[in-house]
Amino acid sequence: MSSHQANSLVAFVTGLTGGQLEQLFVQPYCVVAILRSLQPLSRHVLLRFTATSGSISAALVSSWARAEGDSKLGAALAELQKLHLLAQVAQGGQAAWAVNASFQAQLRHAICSGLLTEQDSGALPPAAALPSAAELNAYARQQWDGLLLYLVGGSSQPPGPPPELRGAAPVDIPSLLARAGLMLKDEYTLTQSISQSGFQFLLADLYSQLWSAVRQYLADLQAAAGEAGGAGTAGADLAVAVNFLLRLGLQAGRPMCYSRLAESERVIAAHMAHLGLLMPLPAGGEVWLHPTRMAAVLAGGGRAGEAAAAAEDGFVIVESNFRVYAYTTSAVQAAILRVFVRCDALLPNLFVGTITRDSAVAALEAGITADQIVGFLRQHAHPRVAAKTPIVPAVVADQVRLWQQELRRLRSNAATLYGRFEGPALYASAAEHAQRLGALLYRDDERQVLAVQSAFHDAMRVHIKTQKAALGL
Amino acid sequence: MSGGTKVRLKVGGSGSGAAAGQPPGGSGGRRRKQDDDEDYEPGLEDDGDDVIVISDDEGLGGDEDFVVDGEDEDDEFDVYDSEEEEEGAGGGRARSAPARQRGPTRGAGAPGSKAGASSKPAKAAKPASKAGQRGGGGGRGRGRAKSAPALPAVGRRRSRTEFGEDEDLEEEWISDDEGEAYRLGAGDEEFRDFSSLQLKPDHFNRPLWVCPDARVFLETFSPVYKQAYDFLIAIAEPVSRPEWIHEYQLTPHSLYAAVSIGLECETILAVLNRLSKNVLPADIRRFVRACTQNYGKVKLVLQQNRFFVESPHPDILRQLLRDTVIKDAAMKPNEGAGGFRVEAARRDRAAASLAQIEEIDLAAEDDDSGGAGAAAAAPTQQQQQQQGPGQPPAAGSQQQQGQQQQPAYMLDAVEEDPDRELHSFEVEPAKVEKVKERCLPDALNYPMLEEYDFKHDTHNPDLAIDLKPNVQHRPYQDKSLSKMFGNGRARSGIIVLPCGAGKSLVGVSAAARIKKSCLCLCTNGVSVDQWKYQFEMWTNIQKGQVCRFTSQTREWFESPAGVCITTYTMVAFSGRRSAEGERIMREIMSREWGLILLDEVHVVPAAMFRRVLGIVKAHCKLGLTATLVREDSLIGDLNFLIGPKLYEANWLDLTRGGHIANVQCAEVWCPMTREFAREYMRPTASQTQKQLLYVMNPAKLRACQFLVQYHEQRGDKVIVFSDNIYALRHYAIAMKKPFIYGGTGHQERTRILHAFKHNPQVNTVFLSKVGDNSLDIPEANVLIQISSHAGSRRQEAQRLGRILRKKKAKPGQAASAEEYDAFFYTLVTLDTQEVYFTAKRQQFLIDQGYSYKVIPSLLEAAGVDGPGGGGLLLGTREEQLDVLASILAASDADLAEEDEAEDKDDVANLKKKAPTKRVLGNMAALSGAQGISYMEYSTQQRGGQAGGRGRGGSARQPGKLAKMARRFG
Repeated sequence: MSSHQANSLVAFVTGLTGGQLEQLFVQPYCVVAILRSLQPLSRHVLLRFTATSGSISAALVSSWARAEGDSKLGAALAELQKLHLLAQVAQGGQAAWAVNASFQAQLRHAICSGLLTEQDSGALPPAAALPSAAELNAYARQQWDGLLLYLVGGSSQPPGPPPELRGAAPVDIPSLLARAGLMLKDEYTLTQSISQSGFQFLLADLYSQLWSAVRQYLADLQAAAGEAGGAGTAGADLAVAVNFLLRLGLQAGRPMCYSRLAESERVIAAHMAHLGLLMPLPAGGEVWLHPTRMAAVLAGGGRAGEAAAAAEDGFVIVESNFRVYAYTTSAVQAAILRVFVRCDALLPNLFVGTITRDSAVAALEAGITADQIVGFLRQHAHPRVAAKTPIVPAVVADQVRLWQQELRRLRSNAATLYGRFEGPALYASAAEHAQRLGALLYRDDERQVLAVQSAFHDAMRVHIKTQKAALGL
Repeated sequence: MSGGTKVRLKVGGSGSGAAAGQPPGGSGGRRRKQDDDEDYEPGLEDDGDDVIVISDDEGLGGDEDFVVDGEDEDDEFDVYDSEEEEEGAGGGRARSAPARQRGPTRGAGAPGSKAGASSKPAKAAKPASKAGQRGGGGGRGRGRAKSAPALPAVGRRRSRTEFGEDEDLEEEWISDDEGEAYRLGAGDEEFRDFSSLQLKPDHFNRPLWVCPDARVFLETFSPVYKQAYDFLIAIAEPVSRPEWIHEYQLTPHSLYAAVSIGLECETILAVLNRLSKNVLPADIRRFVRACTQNYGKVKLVLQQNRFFVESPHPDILRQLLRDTVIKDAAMKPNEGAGGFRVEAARRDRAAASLAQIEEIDLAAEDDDSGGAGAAAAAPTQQQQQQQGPGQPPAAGSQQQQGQQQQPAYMLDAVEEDPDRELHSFEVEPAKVEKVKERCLPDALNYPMLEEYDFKHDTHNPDLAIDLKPNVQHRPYQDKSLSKMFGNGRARSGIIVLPCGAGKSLVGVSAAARIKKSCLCLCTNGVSVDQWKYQFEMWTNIQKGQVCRFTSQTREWFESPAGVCITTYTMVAFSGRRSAEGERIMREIMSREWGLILLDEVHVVPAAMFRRVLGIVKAHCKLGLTATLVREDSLIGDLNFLIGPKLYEANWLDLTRGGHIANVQCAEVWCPMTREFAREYMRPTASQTQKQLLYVMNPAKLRACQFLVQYHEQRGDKVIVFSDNIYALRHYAIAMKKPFIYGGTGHQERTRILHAFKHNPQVNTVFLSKVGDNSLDIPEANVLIQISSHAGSRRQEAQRLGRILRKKKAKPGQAASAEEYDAFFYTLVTLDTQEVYFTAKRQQFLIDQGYSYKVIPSLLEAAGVDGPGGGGLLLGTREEQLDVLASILAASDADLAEEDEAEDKDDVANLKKKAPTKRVLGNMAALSGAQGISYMEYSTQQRGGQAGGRGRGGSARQPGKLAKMARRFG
């Protein structure tokens, strides 16, 4: 599933060049995170290569699957090849698959000795200073929801950076969102507002949201590094940065001491604290950074994160009368629902709304698809409803899709209208020509009027001119 | 009139636009709340702005055709109306300014309203500009706002639902732009921010949210759902009842009903508070108090042939006696406490069981056994209480025995409540009506509940009638009857059960309980026969004791007491009668009826009710209906003419319980053919032509034919409904099926229905709107609707009711609760007004939890599309063009032929002044000989007839104009 998502670790890795990948594959956290993000079958194939000399003959590999599973195995191999994890080589005249050497080495090391390095096994803050899971979640939610609320226009200011890290530079959230294409700047008012992809972003799950933000963040980082130094160092910096980000989620909640981080890491850490992946807490004169659930989701490969999110966030009940009840106190969730639901009332812990034609069509026109709407409602279904099939009543799902279809009933074509022909012969010939071109949109023989696709205007003009000449008009 | 409503809605919005400076969430609410406040001021003199007037205002949205009857009644409405307008125009603007800052509930509205801020200004601006365009809308709107107070946001809710109000076809057509406004209006829904309400710490154990605008939301998955539902349905109107979360609305009427079944103000508040997740808003407390303080305090009881005004509060009785009319009517007071007769009050069983919720242990949550345990514990406690002091133990045990054998409503022994006393004084029988009138809200405002102590009525002869021993009540039938007979006396009121759920058994049981003469009023002759049959089927009543009184059958029972079944029109008829009819009418008028059963109360004009209830003297009135949808003047009137709503069943629960059929509703989309669409779009096309074009759309006929064929093959019985007679006739003749419409005689109707029921060759029947009500066709399980009365939600529900009766499982097939056993199709021609009307019509049923499945391309899906496919009619373009030509050739008078009921008894007839009107030229049509040569003849005849209608219209005009003049002048 994760590999099909537009925004995921796999999608990110696929977009890198071979050189960048080589640098990524020497980073232990990257290697582990990539392994986790793979499809189960791909993961299985890759693990089989871990303990080999590095290459296995293609004949042997294809014998792993029964005949009926060939296509699945083929797909898995293709995915691995696309990620440059496996490559087809010739081995003694025979076709064979070879695993990326540095990836294999790192993976072996991680499997045999774990991920912790000496640097990680440093001091820990006093146990009393450890935040509870609820506190961590609350912080993560506060920062990330703040960002979403800013995106959807519910607040004029993006969330501020944590006060504990006042010295560090915060993320420029407005420009990050703008560069990611989630918000558009209005030329005249100079204010930003949410874009089509921004709406889609809102309805996506947390994993996709995080990765689309992080991808943009990494791209910015790379661009900045590219300006400062050569292209070679930029690639290395990127790998280090990615490794650091993934480490946050993979080190099992171990806090890090801010002052003991490397300079480059410190910048990224402060940024991630701003976005809610890390929660800064002062203890014993130091600031400790505690990874939140979001960090785990980022490195978790999508599946684990999604399940956890669904169990916790399920809050929506959709009724067959198009009513939407959402158990929520969060302004963000209410704001997201308002994208396609008309809000009728807000109760202390309940959002009451209705999916109306207007509200749904407004959302569809903003670029959200019916499937995204239904998917969002399904994904966030209240636990009471989640057990039922279908989770979203069929009438509602159907109707939203019908509204979408309805929007597509009318098609607009740029057209040119031809009229006042000099004589029926000219008209007939022009109409016939347009028909031949496949460009005729409308003809009215009585009034002798034609509408033809604009793209064919030149061809039509030439034809009419020559015909005119031929007819002697 | 729906236009007026819409204007109101928009002005409501403009109010919030004007108050744009305020915090966004609460602006609309604030204004209204101030008005509320003024009305809640205890000392404030009632300025006629009470409940009744409101409902009349609502009702004005209503019923051109229903108020035309008696001129005087009509006037009465107008008086209310103009009052309303003056108030609105005068006090309006000043009031809209926030004169007083209101309490804490909205003061702290900040946190959650943030999110609202973004979208609000845009929304507010829109309605404001609309109101501006409409000129004159302001005064009207204020009238509305002014009238809203007594029911905080009822107006708000209603203003939305009210669009569905059916009524005058003409107006639907005229207000085309209003239709536009309605669609835009969807965004105008006033958004209410209650996020500052305070949640109780253990809110997740409680099932309700109670909003300050008197809306109530109920979680159906709560362990105490059943108890909470029974309680809520007693005190509030259901707005929507889908699967998970129900919405209710507390209204003055609903609270009145609650009081009348014996719930008291403090009990209502206590139970509500106990069930509510949030701390009960102060507004709600005030609202409930204001609505309940006068209702139900005074009862009019007929006891041993003497009328008593009875109340537990002697102060109120004294207050009443200060009134000269009542003083005059009161008999010389006896000696005793303050001059009143005093007796111990009785405990009401129905109310007591509802109040038991107070004792339910809410904390035993998420644990089914806990919930059940609590529920089981409650009754025992109740019984212990009942066997309090003063109650002989023997009676107690006897009663317990009785409980095992008999349903609750049959219990006679009623326990006395030691803590309460009842005070009463007697009034002269001749002056009872005057006393009642004085107590209505527009006078002393202590509306009297009527109770009939039938056990102790020795004046009227008893009727030997008993339910047959094999008769079994379903749980909801029992429940509704126990509300009626909760304290051993009979209460007047209305019971709302979906069609097919056994309304008539409830009526018959009530008659068998009271055991006095019973007058049963129906809407038409066919249902008179059906009621007679019901009485004979369920009870042991003797043949000579049931009689029918219709235009065809004039019978009278010989015994001293009996059951008379007749129609509203027969009783209300004011013209000359035959000698026999005259004699029977005198019998009816001279008699004191123990019970009057009013069938289908929702279709009968209020004016007719007044007339009927004025003529007939009855001790107890029971109204039966499936849908109280039309919340117009009728509802307000029904509350006082008949009584409050005693019980309303939940459709979805009955379906789940297997008591009514599980219906699959579907909306079938039929695209218009190119030629039809062009004619439809032609600017000169008349409204009737347009209507006919979308009804006669060939795709629709083909879809209809396909569905009929498909279901006949399955062995189903199919009804096809068409309001349009031209189309009805065309469809039926094209498909060679029998059809019934207003012009079909009684005998032929009976013959066709009999064939439909018993003849395996006749599986489909075409009906016009005469089939909407009362025709009992239990065999039908498929309904296809090809044309309907504009946006009438009531008609939609009534028609669904035709197939709701649970069918016996076919042999060899296991009946499963999950499976659909009935089908309801609505055929809609795309891109026409019909789409809009269909959406409107469905609203009521959707709110009951039904869902309409859209079938966008039926014929393609079935693989019978294309020329000649599947052997369906109108397969070729030529045939389609023929139909089109005949539609265009037909004159408007032809097309507009109304469904004039031949049946003189039909209530639908009453709105026309001349019930004897006949449709001429039908034979030609029936025989299929309606050709060119007959055309001139029939057109001429119809022309004359149309003129008649025209006169009828102009006769109506003055009233309408006067009304308008008063409104705007």
